[in-house]
Amino acid sequence: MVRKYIAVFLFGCLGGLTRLGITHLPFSNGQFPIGTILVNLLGCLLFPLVVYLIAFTVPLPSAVITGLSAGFVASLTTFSSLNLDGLKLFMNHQYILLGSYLTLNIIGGLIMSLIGLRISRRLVKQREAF
Amino acid sequence: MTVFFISIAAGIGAITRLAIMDLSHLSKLIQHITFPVSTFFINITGTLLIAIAIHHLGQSNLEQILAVGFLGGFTTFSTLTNEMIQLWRSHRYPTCIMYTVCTYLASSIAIYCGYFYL
Repeated sequence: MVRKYIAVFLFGCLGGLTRLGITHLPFSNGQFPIGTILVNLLGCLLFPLVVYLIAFTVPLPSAVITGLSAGFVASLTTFSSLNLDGLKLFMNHQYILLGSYLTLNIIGGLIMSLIGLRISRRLVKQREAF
Repeated sequence: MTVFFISIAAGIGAITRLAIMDLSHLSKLIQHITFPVSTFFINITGTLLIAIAIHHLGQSNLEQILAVGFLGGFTTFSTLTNEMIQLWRSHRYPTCIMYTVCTYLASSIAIYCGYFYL
């Protein structure tokens, strides 16, 4: 219980730091918040990989798995900044950018999650065949 | 130094989220509902709080630590997306659609009202 919380705290710090790094990359400084899209899409891809692939193939303590999923990946992605960036675009009357921003996040996130799920399934199956 | 505090705040946000999820598992009522109540609650509260933080703190280090750090770590997009997929795969289509619509509708209202009225 305590271990799980320590792991989630440490990995959560790391996830937040990674998000900060990605959103401050030189190309994500423009009007269009590319950084938030990148972290959200990356997180959506990583989540199934951690929960299904790493959890079943790498012998790690359950606290570390929870730390990686509920700590690192969940802290890497953000829902509050997504809405805030959306509000900023809305206030600047950039409705086309707002629409493409939300679509890229929502639909892109779903596609990335499905890709992650498919990769995990394929690799776990391959491993079981040996 | 701000970067360090943002990172620590993200960790604190992550354990707050975990604590809320753990607490919600204790409730028998929530266990019976397939709708992911805790993630919904976390994301909407976080959205409302970021609107209030931005509106009242403006551009400052404290705003960065709270908004980018704590609330960024507290709210989660990956869990939301994966819960949508899980609900769809377990053939709970009405719940999945309701969850998606409720989350985006409530978060839009939360960010707008939080910024302009609170």
